Amino acid sequence: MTDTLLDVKDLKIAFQTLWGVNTVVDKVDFCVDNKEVVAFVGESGCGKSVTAMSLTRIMPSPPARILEGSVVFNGVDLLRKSEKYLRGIRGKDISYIFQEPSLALNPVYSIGNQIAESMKIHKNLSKGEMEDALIKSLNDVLIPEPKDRLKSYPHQLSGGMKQRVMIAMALMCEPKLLIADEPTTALDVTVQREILNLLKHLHETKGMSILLTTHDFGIVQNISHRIYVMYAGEVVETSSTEELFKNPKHPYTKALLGSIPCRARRAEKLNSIPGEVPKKLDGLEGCRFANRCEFVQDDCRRTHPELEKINERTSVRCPYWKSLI
Amino acid sequence: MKRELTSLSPMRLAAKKLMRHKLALWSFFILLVFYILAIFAGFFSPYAYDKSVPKKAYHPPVKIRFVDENNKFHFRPFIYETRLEIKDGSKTYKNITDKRYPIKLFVKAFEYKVLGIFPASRHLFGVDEPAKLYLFGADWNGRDIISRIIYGGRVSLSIGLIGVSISISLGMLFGGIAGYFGGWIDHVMMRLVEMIMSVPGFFLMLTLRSVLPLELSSTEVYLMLIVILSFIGWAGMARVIRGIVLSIRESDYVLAAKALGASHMSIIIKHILPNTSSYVIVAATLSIPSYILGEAALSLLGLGITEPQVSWGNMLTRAMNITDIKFHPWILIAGFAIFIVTMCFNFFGDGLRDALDPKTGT
Repeated sequence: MTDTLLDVKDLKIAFQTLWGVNTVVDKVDFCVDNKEVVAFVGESGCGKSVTAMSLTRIMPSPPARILEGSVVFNGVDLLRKSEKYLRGIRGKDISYIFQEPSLALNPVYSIGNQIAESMKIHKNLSKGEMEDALIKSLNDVLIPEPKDRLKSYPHQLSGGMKQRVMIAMALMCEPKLLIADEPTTALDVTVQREILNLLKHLHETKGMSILLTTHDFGIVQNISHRIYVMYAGEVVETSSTEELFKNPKHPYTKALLGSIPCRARRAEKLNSIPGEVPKKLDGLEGCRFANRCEFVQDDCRRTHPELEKINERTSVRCPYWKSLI
Repeated sequence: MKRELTSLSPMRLAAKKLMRHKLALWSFFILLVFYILAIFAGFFSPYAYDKSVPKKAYHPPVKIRFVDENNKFHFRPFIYETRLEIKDGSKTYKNITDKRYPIKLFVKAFEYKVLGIFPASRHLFGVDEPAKLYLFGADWNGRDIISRIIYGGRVSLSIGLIGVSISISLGMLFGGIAGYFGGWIDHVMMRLVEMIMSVPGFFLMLTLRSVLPLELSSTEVYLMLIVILSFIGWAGMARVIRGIVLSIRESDYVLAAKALGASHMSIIIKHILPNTSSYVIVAATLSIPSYILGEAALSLLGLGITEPQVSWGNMLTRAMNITDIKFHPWILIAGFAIFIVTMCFNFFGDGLRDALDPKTGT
């Protein structure tokens, strides 16, 4: 498995609150290969973002704390490394794009100033080289008139432009892994499409791996190679994108796919999943999805199902998946 | 018009809004005049601040005349030399009308140094000896009050600026660190701040002064005043900045900076503190008067700048005596200088606040 870039095992993260420890990510395993696009899909509050941020330990801490597990990136376990070592990784080998581009840009600095920051931290460039690199980076993310835009302030750009700037910022040091945490959630639909196409294009030309988190199945279909479906802090199903869309196995995946608006079923009422993600995971018995599951059995409420491996890339956390197909 | 606005940087936008705030703009110009006067004090003051003329003690402000005793109009303004007369126990200065002393521009008088480097002896205005051009009168030693106000501004005005920059730097660093790291660091630092804040400012000032030796050179006294005043001022600043930092540190751009590999210190200094700037600029402008007043209060009590050095505070020492004010009200003029500068800083600070507040209209 020399091709594996990121290998996460048994990752367990909890929030330390005044009322005790609350587990939010429970023994999550996943891996990202070189040049692969992997997506995390799940509802709000299922632990996607915390997982993504904990890879380089930038999640808000307190309250979040990594209890156990390993994050092996390029053969090095990042969780056993010092803060200083991680600072060298952040922005250079692993970069982030955040959900809300308007909030993720510092209002007091010009765009050029902010894009240059990661270069200033990780690379030693002369002023001229820096300028060239900045213009090239804005060209890469298809921003028109890059030279003028470098002097713009965040409030002068549209949401889509800001997200492009964020992407340019993240790609400045040519990272091996780009983590895009809900990169299109704050944008409107047409801009979402542009940004996704841009990400896809950049992935093809630059060849970095991408870890995408989203709650929207629609956006991952075109871009990702593999999908992890998360529910209540654990992975409930994983398989290749094709397979997942064709043969969803877990009832939660089915329900999620069923609630995508679709042209063919226009006249019908849009499906939704009743209930909500359980707030507190500790002390929960049985399958975490049992209360919202259409196909729930008596057994589901008693024993917590294990992730069952079907083949090399496909696993599902439901003992009844065969009977559901 | 609209197109133009979208291409302005936040600072330019604020400057534009400030331009429309007439009171703030005028205050700014008045302050500018005061500072220019203080910087080029030698050139603008007709007499040396420590030059005493005992026989002209408490000379009232002279009258600038165009018309002489014979009702003849002169194009060039002039004054008369005066002579002290004591009649029934009261002193008055009588004009000697034999000779006119026209006011001259760019006259040669006492030596001074421009910016402390280049020696010069030209002054903006003056009259020939032995007449004295006491525009604002003279004090108990016969020293020209306007010259003393101009020279005194050097101390009073610079103490405000330097003091405020020191307390702001301290406050920002302290508040920034406490707010960013939170937890026990925050606790320890804020309790320290509260300890300083819980002592009333003026008593703290007097206590600090009494800790330091009484016999100090004028430079030492000046530095001591700055230290005392900034020590009192930084705590409140630190507390408010900590509050602002608490909210900024949760923002996404701080997370983004962290994700780029920035260190804690560079996040605090580069990303968090600049976002407190609009508060800091306003708070600084509005707190400069308290430094000027603090210096004046200490000097007034003889604990700050002492004779023959001059500051607006110690010029008012004699004004504490009611009979002195009654017979020589012009010795209060230094107080007016303090009043005007204080008001101007307040108006200017208000204008700045409106200009930097994004919620007020463009």
